Formats: sequence, structure tokens, C-alpha cells
Amino acid sequence: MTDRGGPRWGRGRTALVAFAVVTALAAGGVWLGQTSDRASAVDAAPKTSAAVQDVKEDGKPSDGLPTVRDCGIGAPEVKPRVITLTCTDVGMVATEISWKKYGAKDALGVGVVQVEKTAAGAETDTGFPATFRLYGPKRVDGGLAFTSLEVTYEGSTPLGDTTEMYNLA
Amino acid sequence: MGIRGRIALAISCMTALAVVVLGFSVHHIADLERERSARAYQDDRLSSALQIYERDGTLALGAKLDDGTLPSPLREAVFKKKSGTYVSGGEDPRVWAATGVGDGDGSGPLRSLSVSAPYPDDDPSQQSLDRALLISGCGTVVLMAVVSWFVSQRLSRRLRLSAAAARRIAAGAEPDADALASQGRDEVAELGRSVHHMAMSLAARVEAEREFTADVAHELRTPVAGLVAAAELLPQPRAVELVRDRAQAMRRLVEDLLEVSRLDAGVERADLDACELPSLVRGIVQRAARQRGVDEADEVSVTVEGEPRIVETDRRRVERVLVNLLANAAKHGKPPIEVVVAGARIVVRDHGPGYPAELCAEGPRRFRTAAPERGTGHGLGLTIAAGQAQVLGARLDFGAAAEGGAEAVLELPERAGRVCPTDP
Repeated sequence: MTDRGGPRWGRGRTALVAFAVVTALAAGGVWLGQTSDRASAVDAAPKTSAAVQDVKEDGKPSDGLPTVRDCGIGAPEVKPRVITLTCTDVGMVATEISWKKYGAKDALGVGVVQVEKTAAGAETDTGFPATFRLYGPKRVDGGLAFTSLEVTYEGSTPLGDTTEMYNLA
Repeated sequence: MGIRGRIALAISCMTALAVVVLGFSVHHIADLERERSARAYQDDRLSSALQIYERDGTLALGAKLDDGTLPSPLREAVFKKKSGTYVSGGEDPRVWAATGVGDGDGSGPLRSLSVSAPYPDDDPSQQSLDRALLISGCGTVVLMAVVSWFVSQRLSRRLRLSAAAARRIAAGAEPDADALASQGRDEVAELGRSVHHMAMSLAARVEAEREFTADVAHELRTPVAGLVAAAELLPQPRAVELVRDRAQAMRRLVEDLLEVSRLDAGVERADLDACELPSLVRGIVQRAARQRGVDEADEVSVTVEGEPRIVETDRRRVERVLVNLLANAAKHGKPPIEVVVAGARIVVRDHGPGYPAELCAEGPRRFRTAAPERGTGHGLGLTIAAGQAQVLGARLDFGAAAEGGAEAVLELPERAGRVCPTDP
């Protein structure tokens, strides 16, 4: 049996070495992958690129429908895609609004509220999906404009309330 | 390490390897996903901020114009009319999104609009994921080690049962058909069956050899006795001498065979009585000349080392052992032959070429007379010596003397050995 001791130990050692090498390779691969990702090239920003195009193609007719004047001072806009909610610091913005209904008395749309600072003080890495309702059209500066906005969050909320009211006038 | 431990270790190692690879992969994928979602969120923020900036000229959601800390690769991309996201390393890792604004004359943006957020290396969710991976990985390895230990226990137990059965057969027990001839179809059952068949076949062969020896001896005895008696009646003195000598040799052979067959049958019992070993050995050596042709030329010397002992043993059987050893030394070895008595141990040494290696390793076998250097013979003498030693409960070892030559050591059991008064 003693003459077989050597090769058997050798086999065990080979298996251990193989195990160590594979582990080291896996760890090294991941580490390399991570470091190369950190120094990554500039990635595309598809939504921003789309927004750049939209901005260039802006300028829709009002068709007599009530407009929205952002913070009461912005240019009147029908079916705005972006509405600023907190006008003092511009830290909360309703974005990506798609309007399901945009009538003369009220309008209903869904979108995402982007927040710079949440109630907890930390920045989140996602927006807050919400439903937006515009109502209370009034004649302002010769045009018809919605004066109130109701935001109803579908899931988590940035400030704690499920429903928030904003004055657009 | 037993097969059980080795299987458990191998499975644990494989599991550990799989866990390590899986853990690193999950970590890596989670890291990529985190980066992707961070980039996508900054893209969202920037697109909103851009729309507000373009409409109202206000900087929303923490967006900055011409941020001085904007990483240069991103800055270059922006001024090539490309919007992009970027993860910067360094002391304060951040994820960035930037685009160009103020593209007045189409030659390129004049200013950059960017948003950024901290992107720490030690992200709490990533850390908790790593911790969960580590704990679950270690748990999996430990669990697999325990499970594989118990699984391999069953295999190991069957192998150990087979080994134990083989050992019992080697020690002389009957093959246990139940323990070995299992009905399984795997390799272990196959091994058990092979061991069983091998044991059965070996036992049958040994039994046949035993029967053959007994039969031959028994059948030869009567005609040889008649031959010896008839030789006495021959008229020529020279022919009488020749025939008598050959007939005696044949009778001794037959007696040896009978003794071997009795020893084989296991019916021999030692007839113990106390005797002083040195004087017993001296008497045996003196008588050996008459019995087996050990003569003056062999220069047999008896030496006693240490205190003489009184040993409880069977004189006749000790004599059979010693006479056979001396006869073997006289026939195959070279003089002088030394007999040393030390306590309950008797050493017979000659100065010939020594016992063959096979005999030293496996013990004597009947009709097997080793190598040419030991001359010819029946191989029965040493077989009988070994058999008688076994009946005595003694150990008989064959080996080589320090100064060359054969050395046989008979170690009588110590059970009744005691020091006798030196000189009564």
C-alpha cells in the first residue's frame, strides 16, 4: 500500500490545485470585469436623446383646450410631458406624462415623479409612478389654463402622502 | 482517510467550487444590473431636466450647467453632440448623465447639462447580497458535506462488510454466502460476489490438495511397508542395502505426508509438560543424527544465552520442528550449524545460501522446494515444522542471518516459561 501512497497524495494535491486555480480564475475574471466596467466608456442615454429630439420638434397648437402654465409663469402648453411640482427648488418634477384624456374640464394622465431629495434625505435610484389629474380650468392672461394638479402615487411615495395637490396658477 | 471521508471531501470541494463560481456570477450580474439601473435613472432625470431647461430655462432635479467636475470622456462625448451616461471611479465614485444644450448654429452644443449621483462601492444592498451569498454558500457546502457523508456511509459500510467477510475467510472461516453474495447490481455487490467466488474456489482447491495428500499417504503406506519387509529377504548384501535405503527414504516420505495430512485436518493437540529447554534441545540435536542424517560434518553447536528456562511444551513436537529445521540446514545449507537457545526462543542458523525469498515471505509450502540453490527435496520438512509449531502455539519465522545463511526462529509461547535455578 505504501507504494500507492505517493500517487494517491499526488492525485489529491492535483484536485486541490485544480480547485484553487478555477476559484482564482473565477475571482480574477470577476475582478477584471468589474474594474473594466468602472472605467467604462460613455454609455448611451436613450431617453435624453429622445428628449433632445422632442425639444427640437416642439410647438403644438392648442386647439382651444386648456393649457398648463408651469409654476404659473411658464409658457402655456397643451398636453405637457413635464410639469414642475415644487417650483421653489425644482426638486420634484412630473415626467414622462402620457395623457389618457385631455378634455376641456379636466385631464388624466400617468407618468413618473422624479425627485432630487426624498423625505429620507437620500437620493433614490428610481422614480415614483403616479397618476396626474389636471382640473379647474380658468382664464388666465387671455387663455384657458388648468389651475390645479392632483398627483396620486401608485406605489411608494416620496413625501409620505399618497395624494398630493399642487396649484399651477 | 477512508472512502467515506474522501467522497464527502470531493463532493464538498465540487459544491464549494460551484458555490464560488455561482456566487461570483450573481455578484457580478447584480453589480451590472445596479450600474445599468443607476445609468437609466440618471438618464430619466436628465431627460426631465432637459425638457424643463429647454422650456423654462430653469435647472430642475439638481441638474448643472457646465459642471466643472464632469468627467472628460463624457465632456468629449457631449461636445460631439452625443448624450451619454458615465460611471466615474476615484475617491468619489459617481454616476453621470450629460447632454449638450444651446445648439444654436448647428456646429455643436455650447454648454453641457449634466446630472450626477453618488455611486458608492460599498452599496448597502450589494453588501447585503454578498453577505447572503456568503452565508448561503457556506451553508450549502456544509449541508452537502453532511449529506454526502451519510450517502457515502452506505457505500462504505457495504465495502467494509465485504472486507470483513474476506478477512474471516482468510482467517479460515467458511465463506459466508449471505454476507458476500448480495443481489445488488452495482460495483460493490459485484466486488462482494467476486470475493465470495474467489474464496469458494480457493477453499475447494485447498480441500482438494488436503484430500490428495491424505489419500496418497494412506495408499502408499501399505505397499511401502511390504517393500521394506521384502527387502530384508533379498540375498545380495549390496542390493539389500540399496533397496533398504530407498525403501526407508520412501517410508519417511510417506510418514511425512501422513503427518502433513494430520496437521491439515487440524486434529493434532499439543501434549504439554514442563521441561528445561536447553537440555531438551541438546538431546534433540544428539538424536537428530540418527533420525535425519545430521552428522559430525555439519558441526552442530548448541549455545545457551541468558538464563535457562523451564518451558511447558510438547517435547515430541519441539523435536519434530527442530529435527526438520536441522535436516533442512544439513541438506540445503552449509556447516557449521548453530543452535542458539535464548529464553523460550530457539534459533537455528546455517551458513548456506539462505532461504529463498518466497519462503521467507509466505512460509513453507508442500512439494514446493524453492530455488535451485536450496537443492532438491519434497518441501515437506519445513511444512511439518511450521505445522507443528502452530500446534504448539509457537511462532516459526524464516529469515536471513545477519552474517548470511538461513535463520529459522522458533518462539515458544511464554505462558509457562520461568527461570529455573541455575545449577541444582
